[in-house]
Amino acid sequence: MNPPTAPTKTPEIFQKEAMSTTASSTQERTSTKTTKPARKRPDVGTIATSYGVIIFLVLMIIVFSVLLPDTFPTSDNVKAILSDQSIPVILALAAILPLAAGEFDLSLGAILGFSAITAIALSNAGAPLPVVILACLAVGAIVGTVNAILVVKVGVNAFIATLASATILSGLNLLVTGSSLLVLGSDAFGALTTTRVFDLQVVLAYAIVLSLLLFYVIEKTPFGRYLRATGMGRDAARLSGVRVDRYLASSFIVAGILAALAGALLASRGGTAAPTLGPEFLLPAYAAAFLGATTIKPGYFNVWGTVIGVVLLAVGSNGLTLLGAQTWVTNIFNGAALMIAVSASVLVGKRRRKASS
Amino acid sequence: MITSDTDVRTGSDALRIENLSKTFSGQRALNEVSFAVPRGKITALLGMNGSGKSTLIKVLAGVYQPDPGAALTIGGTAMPLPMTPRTAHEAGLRFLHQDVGLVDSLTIADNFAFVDRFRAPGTFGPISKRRQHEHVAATLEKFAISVHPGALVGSLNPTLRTMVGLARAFQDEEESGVQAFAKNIVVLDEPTASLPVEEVDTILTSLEELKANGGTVIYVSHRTEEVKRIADQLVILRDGKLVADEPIAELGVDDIVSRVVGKRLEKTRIPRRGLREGDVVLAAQGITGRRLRGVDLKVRSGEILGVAGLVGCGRSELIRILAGAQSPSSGHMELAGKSYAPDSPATAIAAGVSCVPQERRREGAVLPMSVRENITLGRLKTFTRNGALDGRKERNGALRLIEQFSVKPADPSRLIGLLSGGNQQKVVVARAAGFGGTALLLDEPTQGVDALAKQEIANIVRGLAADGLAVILASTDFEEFVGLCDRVLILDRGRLVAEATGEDINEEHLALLCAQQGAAA
Repeated sequence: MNPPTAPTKTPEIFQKEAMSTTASSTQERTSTKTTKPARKRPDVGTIATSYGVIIFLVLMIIVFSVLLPDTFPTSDNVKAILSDQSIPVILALAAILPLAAGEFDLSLGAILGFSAITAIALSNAGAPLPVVILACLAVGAIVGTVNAILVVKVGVNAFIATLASATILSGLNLLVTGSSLLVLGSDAFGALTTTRVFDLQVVLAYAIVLSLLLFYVIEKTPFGRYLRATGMGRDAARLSGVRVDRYLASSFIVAGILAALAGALLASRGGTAAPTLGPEFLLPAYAAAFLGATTIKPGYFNVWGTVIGVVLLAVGSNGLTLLGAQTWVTNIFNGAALMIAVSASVLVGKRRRKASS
Repeated sequence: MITSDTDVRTGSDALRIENLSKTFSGQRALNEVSFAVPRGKITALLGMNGSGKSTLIKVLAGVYQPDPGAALTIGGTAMPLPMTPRTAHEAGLRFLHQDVGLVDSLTIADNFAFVDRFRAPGTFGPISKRRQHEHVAATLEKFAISVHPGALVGSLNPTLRTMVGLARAFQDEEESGVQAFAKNIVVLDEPTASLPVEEVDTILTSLEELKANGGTVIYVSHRTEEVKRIADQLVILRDGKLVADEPIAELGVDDIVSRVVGKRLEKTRIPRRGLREGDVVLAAQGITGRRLRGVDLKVRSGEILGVAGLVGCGRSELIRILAGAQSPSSGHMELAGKSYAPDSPATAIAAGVSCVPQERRREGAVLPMSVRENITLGRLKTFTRNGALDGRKERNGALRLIEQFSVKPADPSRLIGLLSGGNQQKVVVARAAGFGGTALLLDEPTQGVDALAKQEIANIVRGLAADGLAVILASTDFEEFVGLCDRVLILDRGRLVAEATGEDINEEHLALLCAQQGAAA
């Protein structure tokens, strides 16, 4: 799984293909209603594309539970997965905002890393907790704004613009850390995420609240609708009176803020920050976002699909690790899951389009 | 002498089409068309929009597969059908499309090379820049183009671009000079459409020189004057049928126009509405842009104003400027007596001016979204409660507009991409006109729309105007204006050159007005 080497067209191609899946399935539905009552039930293909990821997740949980009855289906393991995945969920949610608007933001991992380093550095320098958090969010907002200006005002390809800002941030990371590991000295800052609520780390609550908030914004407000219109038909949206530039810009800025928040939480929870922290979080976030776009609402980058994408990848790597698999197996699993889910969605879409024409 | 040479070898017809038909899902785009293109002559191919011209060219280019039973002979050799782009090229067919098909970011030499080939020994052999440039320079010289082969195509002005495209169409790999000219058949699709009038002469002159050197040309154009000047033979298509195949010499511009338009008496004429004298809603003075050269217009409440013109006349630019999608380089606009200078479509819509853009699939509809989402796009503020979307309100609003604009099927949750072109367009019109406003701009609103939907859209527009909306309808399809517009302005190469009202708004007269402009200029 290595998106950055692919041409910048990747998301569009994927979107288009995935969308045609929805297109044909809707046609199926409506045409059965009106003309062909014979084919009422959606076929295997429709189910596979809409719920394939969920079915696969359930199967995986069953298989791991059978194979590892003592270690996998335990409350401790479930809690560990949920707490561990809270921060990746927030970063994946950040990723779907620019994706919904039709653009890639490759700087999100770097923003997370720089924000984490900033948090520990400021906290160790004696800054009070609110100041640390605000500073981190400001970092995210600034980088997001720079990305937005480059993409919207100057007209730089988003892939390149955000790659450039990511590279700058990785340099700043080395500068701030002096190329050595930063260790958090403050317990108060650590408590921000590790305080237990109902026997779970509070960071999970943050992820849930942010998911609900983003779900509301993307699905239930004009903002979300216009954001999607910007991604799906920018010219048409603009000529219909949607200020597409604003939506595009705000998607980068909000994504930057969310990624920075994820970084601050990561620093709080982990207590350390390596000078190279960040980029390794980017690809799993995108993998989850793309997996998410094949499920719940196929063809759309959607919040719950993305959350399920994160959980799927986490359950896979957790189960494989408990089975004693080495790290390389996990990576192959993640890549293969993405490859298969997206390919299946595209292939079924093609087949159905052919059948309907 | 060249002509006699080739006569001996291949006969006098460079290309012969027999019994060519093409059916698209039951619709006949071409109906048993047969004609011949004489060698060493310029043959004009004329026809209105939808006459089958482009289908014919695409069959020649190997894009479309003709219906069985057709025969195609090129240079005396029967071609296997369907053609492929490769067999077309090998038979000497060269196509110069309206957009010329050059890549802006490459040099002239590179643009030449990827049509024929790079001057290299084999696919992986080293490319010799020097040899390539020499070859290209020689061809350019023949066309009196004084630009270095290493110049970027993007740096050329439109006329030079067209000339380079022309030169490329006539180059030939190993054969040099006159022989290559004699072998190739160049199909030019409206090469002068987007050129300023003073530059057209350059292109026509070089075509005449080409002919003098034995070149064979098929010239597709709407500009009757140009055709009259350079063509020897006239081929006219109407509704997919061949209606004329004759020498041009004896025909006047009027004769040509009437053959192109045909007598359409069988068509039911829609009763014209009486012109109402409302207040001036939208006025523009001296609008200048990339193509427009100072356009003045006024449209009144309740009036349907047509803007007619050929491809490249600046009609789309005018609509885009009025709709706030593009800024004029100079000029002044007023809306209901107040200065109007929209910086975006959003501003224009807020001021009461909305538009139905030309390219429905790209600029009109968001294809992966539902009918409901498309109708309410840009107007969601009406459908919120405490900042959140009110699903029921939105659905009801969409249903109301679906009914008002008779969108079929009346299903707001259906994806717009699954509707017919006509119904997609009704959705776009509903969005533009269903939320109030004082002026509606339509750019080719019935392009790619079936006859019934065309009628329905015309009725909708008529109803909107009757309710007091000021409508501007821009189109290259003159049929669209008949029975609908109160007044039609003729736009030619960025200037308004004529106006038609009343009984003068008929296809023949409008076509004649456009054709005459070429003559006047």
